[in-house]
Amino acid sequence: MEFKGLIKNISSREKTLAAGVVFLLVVFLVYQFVFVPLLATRQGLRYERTELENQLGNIKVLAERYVSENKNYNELVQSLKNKQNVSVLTYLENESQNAGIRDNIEYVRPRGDQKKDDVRLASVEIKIDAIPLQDLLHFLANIEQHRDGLIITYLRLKPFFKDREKIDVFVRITDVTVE
Amino acid sequence: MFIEEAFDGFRVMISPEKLPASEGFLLNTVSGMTVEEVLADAGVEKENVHFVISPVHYFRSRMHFPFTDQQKIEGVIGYEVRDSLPSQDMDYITDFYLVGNEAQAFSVEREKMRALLYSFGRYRENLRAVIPQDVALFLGMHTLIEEDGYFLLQLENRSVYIQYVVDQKIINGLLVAFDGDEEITDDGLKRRILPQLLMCSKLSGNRFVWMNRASNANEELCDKIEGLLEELNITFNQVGVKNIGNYYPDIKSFDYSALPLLGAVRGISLPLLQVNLLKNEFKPRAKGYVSVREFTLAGVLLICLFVLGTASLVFDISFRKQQVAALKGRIEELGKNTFGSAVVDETDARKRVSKVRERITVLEESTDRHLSSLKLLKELSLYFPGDVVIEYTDIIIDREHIKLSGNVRSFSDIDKIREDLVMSDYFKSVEVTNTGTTGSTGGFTVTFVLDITVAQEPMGGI
Repeated sequence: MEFKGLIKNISSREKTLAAGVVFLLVVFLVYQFVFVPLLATRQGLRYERTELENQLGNIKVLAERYVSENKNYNELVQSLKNKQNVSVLTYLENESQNAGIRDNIEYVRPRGDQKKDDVRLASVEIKIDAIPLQDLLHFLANIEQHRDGLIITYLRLKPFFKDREKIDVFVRITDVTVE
Repeated sequence: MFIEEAFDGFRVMISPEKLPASEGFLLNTVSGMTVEEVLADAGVEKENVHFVISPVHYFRSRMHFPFTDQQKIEGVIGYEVRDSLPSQDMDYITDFYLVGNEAQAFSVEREKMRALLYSFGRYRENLRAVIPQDVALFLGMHTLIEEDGYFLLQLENRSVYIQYVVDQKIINGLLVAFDGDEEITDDGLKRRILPQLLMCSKLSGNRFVWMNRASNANEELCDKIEGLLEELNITFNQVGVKNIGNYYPDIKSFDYSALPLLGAVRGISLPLLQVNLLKNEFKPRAKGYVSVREFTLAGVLLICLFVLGTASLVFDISFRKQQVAALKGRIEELGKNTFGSAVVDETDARKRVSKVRERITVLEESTDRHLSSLKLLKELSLYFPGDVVIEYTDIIIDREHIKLSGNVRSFSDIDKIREDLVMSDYFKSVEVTNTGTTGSTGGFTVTFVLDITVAQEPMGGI
């Protein structure tokens, strides 16, 4: 009641002033709680758009690189997969047969596998006795050339005690395959 | 500029300079014109106009209050005055001046005030005050005489206005007017003003009775009133110049027809006795200030701008959201088409590229034959000096080291072997880790052990 009376008694100038103050207050509140958040949202979207444009540009470059790298990788994998139907032991046996040194081989032992992601590294150790150096070089060159992903990683040469023109040799071979 | 609404038109008083008018006033009476035409004729542009309103348009009342606070009385007088007005339903504007705790109130209908302002036309903004004639007369008399009370007979054209003032309080005011074709008879005059004159005689004791004859006052009416006063044995003074010459130097030649206009001028310097019916929504605006209407208009425009701004902002945000969504879509599509699944961001894409690169590196390193033991053996034989006879006892080759043990004929042979092997890009360093001699029939032979470090990245490439 008192408030109503107060409202009734105030002059029109005071009413105008009060209306002006209320109006400005409303404008301020709308600005503070509507306009300012909207401005912040727009600013955020501007920033996000710029970021996304930069990202898109960079991702395009990365995508081209990825396609190129993936192609290389696939080619490598394909070349390694071609040999998967023949085991390394069989391959070595065949190659030694072809080179005519099968009888010189004292043993062929698998030395375990190592895995890096989907790449499998299989090691095999061969001991060959009393083999002429030329035959050995010929044999080793053949086994590397005829099978992709096969590398000779260890070699130990010692003179054959009976005939110094011949050598005893330990060979470790690593065969790379992709699963 | 001061205008008085008279029976035969308008009385106009112009001060050619800013008040106080040291050069006097220009006085003129015009008829057959509207206020707007009068002002236009006077060449008014930005001059302030004070208007004296005729008693036929307003109501006068006196009220006592238990307090003397001007603002408090201002707050309540609008309600208090209703009881003394013809209708309580009518909408009035009231202003007053205060003498002690007694308010001399003057009220005019709001519609009448609106019509008056309308009649000013384009000069509406020039109007600064609407002064009741009673107040203007009182202020005029206040200027001319020293006493606070008087009985005034203001004769003008075919009318007489009787005003009785005691201690600055307007006790009574009566307008008696004769139409143009109406005969002024003694009986008619007595019937209309005798009670007032008798009251005057009784109350004032014939003291302070004043008569002001305007230049256009009807002679017959003046004679009859003077005769009546003589008959009633009432003596009176003629309004004239007295002590105000200093304030208005030209007052000696002042036309006392314009007594209310003189009062209107005087009222400017007497704020406590001022009455201005130009109030509330009609209140004159100080120059340079905006009116409520303009303020509201500005507010509405501001709101419109605000709404437009907000709408524009919302639209802009919506547009930018679409742009962001489109960009995200393109990145996702690119990810699906290239990487096989949607990539989240650049970092994710970079990881995927790195992953492929790592796989390739693993494969390349695993299948790289430039560090094959066979290749290293060939490199060893290639750079081995041809003129050195060596009898090797053990050669161990792996991807990082080569250990060569053997016998040579002299120490210089070891140096030669070392110097030549260092020439190879494949060998990073060649160290002699052990040397010795063994006897034989042909003299001693030199035993040695060479430790060769393999360069992981040969200079010059493979």
